[in-house]
Formats: sequence, structure tokens, C-alpha cells
Amino acid sequence: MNRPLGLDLRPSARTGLGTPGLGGLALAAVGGTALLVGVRRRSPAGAAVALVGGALAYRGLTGAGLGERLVDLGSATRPRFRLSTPINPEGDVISSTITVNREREPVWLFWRNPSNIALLHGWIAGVAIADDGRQTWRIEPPGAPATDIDTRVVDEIELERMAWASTGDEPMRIQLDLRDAPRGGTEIVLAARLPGGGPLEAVRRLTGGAARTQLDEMLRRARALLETGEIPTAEAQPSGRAGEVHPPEPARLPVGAGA
Amino acid sequence: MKAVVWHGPGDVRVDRVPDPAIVNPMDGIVRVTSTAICGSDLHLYDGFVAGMRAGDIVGHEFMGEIVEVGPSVSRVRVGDRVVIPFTISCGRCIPCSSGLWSLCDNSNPNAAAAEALYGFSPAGFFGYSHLFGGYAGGQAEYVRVPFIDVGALDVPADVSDESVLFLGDILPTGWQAAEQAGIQPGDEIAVWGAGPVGQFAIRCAFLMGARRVFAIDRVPERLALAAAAGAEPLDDRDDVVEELKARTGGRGPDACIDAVGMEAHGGGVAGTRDRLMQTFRIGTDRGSALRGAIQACRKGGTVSVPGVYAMYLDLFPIGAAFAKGLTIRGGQTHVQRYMRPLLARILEREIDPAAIITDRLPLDDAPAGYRRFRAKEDGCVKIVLSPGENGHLS
Repeated sequence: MNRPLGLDLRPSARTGLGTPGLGGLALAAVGGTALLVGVRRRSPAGAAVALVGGALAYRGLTGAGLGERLVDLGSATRPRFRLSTPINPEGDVISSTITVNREREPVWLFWRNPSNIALLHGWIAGVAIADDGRQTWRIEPPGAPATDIDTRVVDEIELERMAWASTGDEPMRIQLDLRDAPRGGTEIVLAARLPGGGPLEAVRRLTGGAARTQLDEMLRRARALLETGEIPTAEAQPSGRAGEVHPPEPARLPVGAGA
Repeated sequence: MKAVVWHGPGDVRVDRVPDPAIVNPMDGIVRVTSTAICGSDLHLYDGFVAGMRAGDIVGHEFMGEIVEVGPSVSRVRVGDRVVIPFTISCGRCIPCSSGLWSLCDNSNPNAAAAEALYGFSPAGFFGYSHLFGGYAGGQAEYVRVPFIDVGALDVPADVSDESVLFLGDILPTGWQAAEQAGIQPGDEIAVWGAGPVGQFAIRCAFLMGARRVFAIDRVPERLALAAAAGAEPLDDRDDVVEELKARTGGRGPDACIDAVGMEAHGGGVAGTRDRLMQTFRIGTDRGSALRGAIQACRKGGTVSVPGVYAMYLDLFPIGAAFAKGLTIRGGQTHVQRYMRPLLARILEREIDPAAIITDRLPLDDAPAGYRRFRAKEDGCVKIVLSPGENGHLS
């Protein structure tokens, strides 16, 4: 099953199809009995009986055949798999958007501060700034070697747009656009193009299946920092799981990001 | 410290766990003086809420004394006696700024998981699965409270814990249920479920001017408690829809409140089907109460849903709701919106929350309390747990 953020989300999502009524319940009873009988026989024939029984029970309870049900489940649970926006080797553009309850200026100032970038993603260990304005993003994906990505601000329109691009033949580009939300606050659109191959390949492979999720999470963290000055966490707290409690980590507050 | 720990369906234990600590600057630590077992805890206990992990500390109704605060806390202080809302709210996002506290944008660290299931994430809640944040709960000696300035309600020293404890959840939940029912003076209201939330919904409906309230349940003590508050008891195993029609001149109730939620006990084809689907884990929610509320409600009426639903409900009577032009409202309670005005009503003796307490137990007896509450044994309606004076940060 899908495990967003590693969570076990059982019981799984289900939708209803049809109305079995008494007939459906009877069918379920017959199917359930066949399932139990088949399982108890512990033989190939028993397995076949169990399979048929299980299918009948399923149909009886849900009012749909198993195949039909699976088709419907795919539809019903599609949002759970929306997490990935695949990146093809040519470099697809992915984007995410969020509304922050702050005016545009503090939002703009937040994103202009490179040290804030490191607060938005657990893999970005830090951002170093050279005299010529070049920024080196230190990426430390779990279980993979650290990668330094040299970037440069390639587009900047005050209070409206900022874009960073990595150096190299196939540059990664990340672009931020700001606009006023209709009822106050600021809409942020964050878009990225991560090309295949080259020094970014390791990052692309690690992030590929969930690149959109990474952008979503970065924006959620940015919103939390901009609105509250801290990133919510349930880490470092007690539980009854042996060995899971960690010492508290110091909260990381960005300069000037407090609400 | 000691805490009530969920180890799996039907298995909670009081374990020794590490003490909580300040993690974020707006955190506070509360030493719990009273906590309660909520009806919605039974959904966790029965294993019907996604995202639980063995070892989770449960409980979301609690109060106590602030013993530590983070560097950015300014409104409350160490030593304050406070009630904590079960909804964790930042107070600064768009939903919080609009009074929609239970829909806070920022308090659920696992928002991605909730968004995957629901489209958007609600707030984080104490002790209510990792889907809603994974925060350690309040059935413990100490609790870490994020954004404590926003949520904590300081209460007067001269009122008992039992009088104000339920301001953190079930009293505001009952109030919001009645408010969302759109009650007008003279209305006739039906409430499915005479458990703790239903009891408060009944009392709040009267406070809002309802002329008659019908309480629908099957547990005699709960119906008696509802009757003591002025409600007319109905057994849910009877033909409730016909009975309500008969008692309302053929109109049906002006509003119906489903204070039962996802583990309704209804029978019949739909109820049996719900139970089978839930048993075999091919369905999540049992909806007999909600179906009954929709069926019974008058044309143009309102159905209010404080009862918790987790994911999907089959045989949802959308045709009846559409044909009768019903308004359906529900959701987790915006607790912070109601705490202070309801505290004023308690102090004015307009409502006595302690009236529904039937069991007082030490925290150590929580596992037995869960069993008794789930079985509705011995007239059990509401259990309050006391961690006692023996909890020490160490």
C-alpha cells in the first residue's frame, strides 16, 4: 500500500458501489463459508474454493465484482497516489502553490534570504554564498552521498519573482512567483525543473517519485515559518516505543521570519 | 512519567514513558490534573482510525498546571491553571484567523498524509493518530502543548476541575453541534446518541431555545440522563423515523444531530452490511445514525454531525438529503471559539458539565475504564482520570 510519509494509513480508503441488500448478504454468507472451508482444506483445490468464496463474499458485501471494485478503488484513492509527479529525463516542470496569511513584502524578504532556504527541506543542509553572488546548496539526502549544487539567482523582480538556476549544461531551475490572494495574504507558486543525468541525477532519482511532494512540503514549511515563526513537529516527544525518544532538537527560527 | 499507551486495537496500557520537553519556542508543558476518556477515543481503541502506531500516547481531553514554557510564550505563565483544547491551532493562519480553529493550516506536521486522504489537512489533535499530527496525548502526567498561548484557557481557582475539564472538547462539541443545527426558538430537535456529546448537545439545544429535544439511544441510563435534562427519550431499535413524525405533527424534527459517528449500532440490512464491511476491513464507517437523521429530518431542515467519521460510508442517502433540500453541517469542533463564552455560562450556572460524570478513576485504571466505557457497563457515561500527585518530571 501507499505509505505517504511512511505512515500506515490502514484501514484503507474504500468506496461504495451498488446496494447488495438481503441478497448480497446471503451471497456474502455463502462466499464466506466457502472461503473458510477452502482455507481449512490446505490444498490446491481448497485454495481454489477459498478464492471463489472470497470473491463471492466480496461481491455480496460491496455489491460489485472484485475487478470492478479494484477499478473503482483506483479512482477513489487516486489522491493518495497524487504524491508523485514523475520527472522524465528531459526535465518536466513541476509546481506547487500555497497561500500564506502575510503580505507580499515579508514573504519576499523571507525567500530572498538564502539561509531560510535551508529551513524548508530536511535534505538541504545549508546554503553558502560566495562574493560573486553564487549560492552553493549542500544537499544531504538520507542514504546517499552529499551533493553540492552551485546556483545563481537568474531572475528577480521585486515582490513578484525570483528564480535560481544551477550551473552546468542542464541546469536545474527553481522559480518562485508571488501574487496577492483575493482575500488578503500572498499566493506563492513554486516551480522546479530537475533535468535528468549529470551531477543532479542522484538527487533526481531520490526525489523523482515524490518531487511534487517535496515542493508541497517546502511550501508548507515556508507558510508555517512565515505565519508562526516555527515549524510544527511531533518529533522528540514521548511515546511507548522503546528507543524512539530523541533529545529535543533546538527549534530553528529564521531571521526575520517571525510573524 | 506514566501515560496511557495504545498498543493495538483493544489494548491500552499505562506505561512508563519519558517526560515531554519543550521542542518549539511556543510550546508549553502542562502537568495534568484531570483528563478524560472521550467517545472518539473508542474509535482509536477499536482500531478504526488510520495512522495509529503501537506506542502512541492517547487522550485529548485534559487540563492542569503549566510547569514550563518556551521562549516565545508570552500570554500564559508557569503556574497558570489551564484547560487545553484538543485542537492544536497556531492562531495565525487563514483558518485560525477566520475562527476555524480545527482547520489550522500549520499544526499538523503530517499534513501530507491527511491531504492525500482528504484533499486538505485539518489541524493536528492531541493523541489522535499520526494522520492528525502524531502528538502525544493527554492521558498522561505531563503533556507538551504546542502554541500554548493560543489554546490554553486559564480558569478561576475556585472552580473544580470537573466543572471545567470538558471545555477542552465535549462541551464545545455539543454547543457547536447545536449551533450548526441552526436552532431557532421553538424548534424541535432530535439527537442521535445520548453519550457525552449528545448529552451536551441536548442541553445546549435547550439553551438556544429549542422547545422539544428527542434523545435517541438504547442504553437506559443514558436515556434517563437525557430525560433528566428535559429530553424525550426514544429507543433507537424502534421505528424512530415514524415515531418522530408522529410526535412532530407529521413534519419531522427541524434539525437532527448525529452525535454517534462511525460506530453506530444500527441493525437492518444497511447496519448489518456496515458491520460486516468494517469487520472485514473493506469499509470504515458505520452510518446508521446518520442515515436515520437524514431520513427523519423535516423538509428543508438541517442535519448537524458532531459524531466522528473517518473515511468512507456506503449507502449514504444522498437522494433523501437532496430531495428534502437538507443542509448538512459537521466537522471537528473549533474549540477555541467556544471555550471562553462557555466558561462564562458554567460560572453563571447555566450548565453543569460535571452532571454527566459517572466514573472517577486513577490514571492507572485507564485500561479498565476503556473496557467499561466501551461496553457501556454499570451505567458508565463519562470517565474522568486523575494522574494524582505522584507525577514528577525526572
